[in-house]
Order: sequence, then C-alpha cells, then structure tokens
Amino acid sequence: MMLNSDDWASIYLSMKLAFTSTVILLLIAIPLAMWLAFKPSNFKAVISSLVTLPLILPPTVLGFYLLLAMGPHGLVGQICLKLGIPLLPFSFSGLVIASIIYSMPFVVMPIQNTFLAIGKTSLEVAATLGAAPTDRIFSVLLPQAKIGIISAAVLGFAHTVGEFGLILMIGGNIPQKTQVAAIQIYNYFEIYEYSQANHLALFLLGFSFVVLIFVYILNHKLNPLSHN
Amino acid sequence: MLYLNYALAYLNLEFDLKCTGITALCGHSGAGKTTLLRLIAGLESRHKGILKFDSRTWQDHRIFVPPHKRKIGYVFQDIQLFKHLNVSDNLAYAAARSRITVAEIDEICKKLQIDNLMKKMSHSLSGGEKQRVAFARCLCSKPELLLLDEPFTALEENSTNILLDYLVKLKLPTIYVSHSLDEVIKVADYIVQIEHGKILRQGSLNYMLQFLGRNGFVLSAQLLSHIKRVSSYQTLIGTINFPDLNPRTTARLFIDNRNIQIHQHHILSENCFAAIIDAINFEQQYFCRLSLNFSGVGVEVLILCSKLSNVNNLVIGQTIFLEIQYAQVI
Repeated sequence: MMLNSDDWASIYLSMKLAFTSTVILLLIAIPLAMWLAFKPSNFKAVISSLVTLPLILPPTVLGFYLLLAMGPHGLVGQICLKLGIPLLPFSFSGLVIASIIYSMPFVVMPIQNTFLAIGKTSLEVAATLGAAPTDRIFSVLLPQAKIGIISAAVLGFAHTVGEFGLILMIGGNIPQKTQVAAIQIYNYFEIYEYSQANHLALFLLGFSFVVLIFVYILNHKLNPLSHN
Repeated sequence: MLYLNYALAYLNLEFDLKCTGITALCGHSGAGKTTLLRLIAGLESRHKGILKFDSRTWQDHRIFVPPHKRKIGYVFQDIQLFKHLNVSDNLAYAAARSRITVAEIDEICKKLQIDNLMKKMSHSLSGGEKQRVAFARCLCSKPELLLLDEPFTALEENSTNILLDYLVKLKLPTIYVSHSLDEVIKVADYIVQIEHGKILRQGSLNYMLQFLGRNGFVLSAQLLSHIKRVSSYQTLIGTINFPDLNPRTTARLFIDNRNIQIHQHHILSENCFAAIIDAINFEQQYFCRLSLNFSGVGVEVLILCSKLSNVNNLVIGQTIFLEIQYAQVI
C-alpha cells in the first residue's frame, strides 16, 4: 500500500482529532450517563433525546447550525469575539467541538447501558458498607463498568475517524489543519486519483474492521458480567 | 431504641422498637417490609419522616444522615457481591471503611465457614456461599444495627442454619424480614406484623405465634445429652426429654399446644412441670387460654376445653401440672 506524506498527515490529523474528542467525550459522557442511568428526573427524556439526536440527524443539519452558532453572528462566535479567542469554524478546535457533539450518542449510550446492567443496588450496597458517594463511583461503579467504558471510547474514537459531512462543513478542507483522512479520500475522488483514494480507503476500512473486532471481543469475551 | 414515624402514600408507620434482640418483620408481599428497611438504611432519601436510633437522629425535617454514616449492615434479598472483586477483596472493601481488626475478620470467616473461599470470584460461588460472604462482608463494616431482607430465601438448609446460628450468637440489634415462619421462630425475639403499609400488631415471639398460624409456644434450650436417639434439653421451665434425630447444642423448642396435657395433680412423667395459673380466658366456647407461671417464667397455652378435666374448677393462683408430650427442635 502506497500512502504519500499528505495521506499520512491526514491520517495523523484524523487520529489527533479522534483522540482529543474521545478524551473530552469520556469526561462529559461518564457523569452524563450516570445521571441518565440512576437519577430520577423529569428532564431525562429531553436530555436523552438531545444526546441521541446526532444518530438520526443528517450531519449537514448539525453542521449547518453549528456553523451558524460558531460564526461571527452566532452566540458562541460572539462569546469568542468578546473573549478575544479566534472564531471556531475552519479550525481544529471547531472540529473537536463538532466531533464531540456528533459522537456523543456512541459514547454515552453504551456507558449508560453498562451502568444500568450493573444496577443501582451495587452502589447502595457500597453505601451501607460505609462508602461515601464519590468513593462508591471510583471503587464500585467505574471498575465494574471498565469494559463498557473502553468499548464506548473505542466506538467514539472510530466514529470520529470516520466523520465526513460535519467535518467538511465546520472545518472545510485545509491541508494540515482540517483535512482529515475521510476528506482526503474525497479530494482524490474529485480529481480521479482512484488508486490513491483506494489505498487510503483500504487503510480506513482495515482500521474500522480491527476496531469493531476489538469492541466485539471486549463485550462478549472479556466482560465479567457475561459470565454470570 | 429505634423510633420511626413515616406517613407516606403507601406506608404509614409509627413505632418504637427496643431493638435489643432480633425483631422480625412479617407480612405479605407488598406490605411495605422492604421499603421500611430501606427507610431505616437511608436508601429512600426522597421521603419525609422522623427516624431516631438510640440517641441519634437519622432523619427529621432538617436532618438527613446519609446511609454511609449510619453504621448499619444491610443484607439485600438479591445477593450483591462486587463482581470485580474476589471474596477476600469484598470483605476488605467493608473492613477498609470500618475499624475492624484482622482477628475479628478471621473469626467471622471461620464462624461462617468461608475461610476456604478467599481467592474465589463471586461468579464461581454457590448461592449459599455467596450469601455467607455477603453476610460476612456486612459484619466487616462493624454495624450497630443489622437489617436483613429475606437473606436466606432459596438457600440450602446447611447454609441457612450456619447463618441463623451465627445471627443469634451475634447479639446485634437486628431487624429481619422473612417469609419463613420456621426461620422467625428460630431467631426472633420480637415480631412486628405489617399489612398494607401499616402495623397490624406487634409483640413477643410467644404472643405473636397465635396470629401467625402456630398454636404453641417456644422455649430456648441447651442440649444436655443425646443418648439412644433421645435428647435431653435444659429449658427455663426444666429439663425436657424427647426422641430427636438432629440434636443441636443451642436450639429453640416449639411445643405445639396439641402436644401438651394439663393435669390438676402431679403425674409420673419425665416432662411434667408445675406452674401457677396467672390468668384464665375462654375463647370461642371451645378454647381455654391459660397464662402459666413456671417460677417466674411466663408461658401462655391455648388448649381445647375438652382436653381439660373439670375445666370449671380451674382458678387463678392454682398450681397445675403441664405435661409436654413432644417438642420440635427449630
């Protein structure tokens, strides 16, 4: 397989974007999934729907509204201008924010399901054994949810690597800055470089396949909950 | 002393429990027993009420002490061992959050016969082993009040007996929910009967037995000897001898009222005990309830009038003789 330096740069950018987004996503998704799984609230249906929305929404719709919000006349854009921060569209930071929103359901939902499978009783047992709320989360919930959290992180990472429409709308097609691997394939396709497009596409195909096998093994072979 | 006052839509309770021995909560499914335990444990923080244990207020209109600060031990109905930890680490989890010593942990493990399971993960344990580990873990948190929610449901007899025997020896204030009347008779000192979220009645074990479908009374007993399949037990009213295949060092004897005879004169029988009549009450024409005093030990018996000769001649203060023909070891 022959990949040139531009291809490797786009792959590096894809991985950097996916890694950054996944780390931030986990920090947001774990508490959010915990709230959705265990806290009774009237707002749960609304929040769940908002989190799940990117699953069914065309990326162009999400990209369009994010672009408006991040633009100089949008709310986020206005805040950035007031704080003296560069505007987010067509920047790596803008891509990270868009990816976090777009991959949110792929991370939140598996973690939420893992927490539901573990159940509230496990935390209640820990409470009766003298564990304070934070202690319960770190000593009981997260260790038992380890496999689910890793699976969710891998899925979120892989999904971000595979993003196209949203990236194109928010980041454009700037080499070394916002030109990720999926967009590079589209560039090759537009200029009839099918062989180069094929090499990069095969790389992404192989990467996605390996990731899915990894997630499958984690969920069905290593999960201690599946033994009981 | 446990004082509790909750007025919820489905649970309207107010009671004062001495909480010195084992209090059994009885009632049909949905009566509110588990909710009551969860309120005491502090696992239902949404509900308003008043809850005091000894001199401490656990809940009132201003205070809510969270469960991890209440020093309670709770054994749940569905066994909940931490699946990511082995038996030893499950116990260490509780021990690390209490001031229990290694010697005390070792003793608990030995008494509950789990000292050979330490390295096993929870999914490789049997139901009985899991429940003994859950019970041991709960004790490792050094609770001041023990809450047991049908802990022995669907356990084999051996595991149940190990746990019940140890529970009696612990002498910890315990609130115990069970559907098994045999278990209740075996361990309870006091019984609270709950129906539709309200207390129907409460009282000592011997007083409550009549309302739970057992016509008889219970005596605590120590095994003196077991010779030729006949056991001799020391009880508070005297020594009772009867055929017994499974003798137990410490036991409770259930004496069905159908297996007793009241005599107005002493007879030659090894299980005949003198008592003074404290009270006589006739029930439904055919039954006579006698409150008997065996040198300071009170026992109530309900007996068919037809089994008493010259029933009308019985008077308060009279000495009669109670003959026990058979006792069941519980």
